[in-house]
Order: sequence, then structure tokens, then C-alpha cells
Amino acid sequence: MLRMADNSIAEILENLRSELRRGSLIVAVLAELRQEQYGYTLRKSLEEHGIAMDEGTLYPLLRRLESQGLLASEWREQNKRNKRFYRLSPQGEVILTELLLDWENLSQSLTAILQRSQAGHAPETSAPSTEAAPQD
Amino acid sequence: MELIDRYLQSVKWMLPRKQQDDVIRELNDEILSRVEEKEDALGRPLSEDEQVALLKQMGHPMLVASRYRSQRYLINPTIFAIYWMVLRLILAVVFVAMAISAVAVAATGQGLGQALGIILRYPLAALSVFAWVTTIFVILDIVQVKFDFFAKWDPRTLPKLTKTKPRHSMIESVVGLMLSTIFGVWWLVGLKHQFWIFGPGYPVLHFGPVWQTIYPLFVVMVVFSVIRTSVDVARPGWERGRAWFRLVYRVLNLIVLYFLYNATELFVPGSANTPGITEVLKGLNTAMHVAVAAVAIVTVIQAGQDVYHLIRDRFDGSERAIACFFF
Repeated sequence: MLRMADNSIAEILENLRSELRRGSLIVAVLAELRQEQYGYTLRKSLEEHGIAMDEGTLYPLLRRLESQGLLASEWREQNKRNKRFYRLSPQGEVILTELLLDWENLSQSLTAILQRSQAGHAPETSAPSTEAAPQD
Repeated sequence: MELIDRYLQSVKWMLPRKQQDDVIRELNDEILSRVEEKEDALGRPLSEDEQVALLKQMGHPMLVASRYRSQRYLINPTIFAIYWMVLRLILAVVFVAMAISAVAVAATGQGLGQALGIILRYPLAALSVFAWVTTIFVILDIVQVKFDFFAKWDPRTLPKLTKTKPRHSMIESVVGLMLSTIFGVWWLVGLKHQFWIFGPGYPVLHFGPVWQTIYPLFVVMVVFSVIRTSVDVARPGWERGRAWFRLVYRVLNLIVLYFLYNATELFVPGSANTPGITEVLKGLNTAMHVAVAAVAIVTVIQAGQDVYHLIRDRFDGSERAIACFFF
């Protein structure tokens, strides 16, 4: 029973994590593509910055963003292989600027909420440690 | 690299035709870049097992291809709740119609097999209902998206507030519906062909004449019971209707019990000449009369409770107090 509960919590956490990440991934991809890159290097670059993304997510996302006019792409040969290079389109640049503003506002709001809630919990959490402190 | 080509071919087959070549070229480059990276690190070509591991990491071809398709639904989640409600309602109505046909066949004294045969045709009818309702809702969904019905709504047209009460389990209701139908058909056939009820005891024991006198009442009760349990399935939250159905059913029960209590012989001897059967039946009939009286008393009490609950739910506050005073 306990294991079942653990599995269920792990699953919920995983789902919430992926929901939390979904929007941020788009912003990260758009921001990375201010410089032209092809899929593999883009994925590597995101990974180096701590944003791991599998191919099954990245390539369909690139395709979707391109169909929405936020990215532009072209096939070019590099190292004797054809590669598809993506870059942010002018419309994508406008959208990215807006998204970054929203991101900043959201981040500030969230920080304020967290600070307030931590302040609300502070007396409860600090009280036991004060009592438990050795008295010399 | 045959494995990689096979993998890409499998992905390609499941992609939308227009995207196939483009997506496969890009995936090919991704896989080859990863192979090169690993080969550079190892300083040798990848073994078959290592290629297998790499492709497994990429994901099953069907899964990879599915991500390039936009999400599709047979029934849009926006209208799914209405679809589910209509589907359940029509399935229940069709079941009631078939159950009533089965009861009618049983009531005319035809065989049990024939009556149950009608019920057994229900899965096929249900499948047909499912197909039609689904098709209609798929068309409705297309129309709804085109004309954007959800943009044209007025909060004043929303249903009035209702008292929320715990709902009954759907499985419980469906099982109840099936059991009440099967039992009803068996009972009506059994009253006409008593060996279905008495089994091996049929030559020894028969029902008294009163059971045939009130046979039409049993038909009404069986039909009523099927309708009542169908309503449970179709409208699980309709507590008030459920209470009324229960009360009417108890009244019907009381009428049956009245006839049974007033009949002198509930059971009569069968065709077989069994020694001592007269004494046994005398005891059995007395016991049955006592039992009928006891059940009648309990039913009257339960009917009284039903009436009380119906009145209590009908009136609120002072209105309730006045109503209780009068009733």
C-alpha cells in the first residue's frame, strides 16, 4: 500500500514538473535561437544550461513554433551532411520579448508570495529550535 | 547502420505524409550526430547493442511519430460531458424498451428462452446506439467549432440551484437494472410455467389461484421496477424522483400483500399424490400468512418514512414546520 502511495506521489510530482516546465521550455528554445542553430546543437546547448529536452519533445516543438511563424528554418550542408538550421523570426523576437516580460512579472509575484508564506510560517518553525537549544 | 534506417523507416510510415521526408531527414541527422559523438568518445564504431540502446533511448517509432501529430479527439473534451449524459440516457431508454418487450413476451406465457433472448440482443443494440450517438456528436462538434456556440451564452440561462446529495454508484445502478429485469422476466414466466420456480418440487407443490388473479399486478410491478432502475442509471442524481418511485413501489407491494393475506390458500398440492402433503401445506400457508402480515407492517412503516422524507425535502424552514403540523 505504501509503495503504491509512493508511486502515485512520484507520478503526480512528475506530471506537475512537466506542466511547470512546459511553458519555460518554449521560452528557453526561443531565447537560444536568437543565434542560428540546428537541432542537435540546440539540444546540447539547452542541456549544458541545465534544460534537458529529449528529441521527441524538441523537434515537434521546433516544427510547431515554425508553423506559428516564430521561427524560420533552412536546410544547409555542414560537415558533409544536410542540417536544418533554425533561427528566431522577427515575429518570434516580438513574442519572446513579451514572454520574457511576463516571465519576469510572474517570477516577481511568485517570489513575493513565497516570501509572505515563509514569513507566515517562520514563528512555528523557529520556535522548537529555540526551545531545543542547549542552555549553558 | 541498417538498424537506424529500419528505425527511421518505421517512424516515417506513421508520420503525416506531407511531413515525412522533412522529419526523417532531421531525425536522421540527430541520430547520426549522436552516433558520431559516442564513437568519438569510444574511439571505435558502435556495436549493434550500443545502437539498439541509442534507438531505445530515442523512443518507440510510434511514440516518436505521434508527437508530430496534433492532439486529436473523437469527442472534444468540451462537449464530452453532454455526450456521456446523452449516451447513457439513450442506452437506458433502449434497455427499458427491450426489457418491456421481454416482460410482455413473458406475460403472454411464452417461453423463458424467448423472453431472455430479447434481453440478450441488448449488447448489439447498445453498440448501434453508441455508433449513432458518437457520429452525431462528432458532427455537432464540427458545427460547434465552426459557429462558436460557446461564445454566445447568457449566465441567466443556467439551471437553477439544486440540493446536492451523494450520488449512487453507477455500477450499482446498472447491476440493479439488469438483475431487476432478469428477475422480473423469470418471475412472470415462472407464474405461468411453475416448474421454473418450484423446480423438482413442481409435481408436489403449486401456487394457489390468487397468484393468477393478481398476475396483471405483477406485470405492472415488473415494468415499474425496470423503469425505476433505468431512471437510476439515466439520472443518478435525481433523488426526489428516486424517492417517489420507491414510495409507489411500496404501495404496489402493499396491494399484492393485501390480496395474498386475504387468500386462504397460497399454495395447493400438485399433481403427485404425496402422503401427508395436506398437513405440510396447511403449516406452510399459515406461516406464509404470518410472513405476509409481517412484511406488510414493515412496508407500511417504510412507506410512512418515505412520505415523511418527501415532505421534509419539499418544504424548508417555517413551511416545513407548518407541513409537519398538518401531516
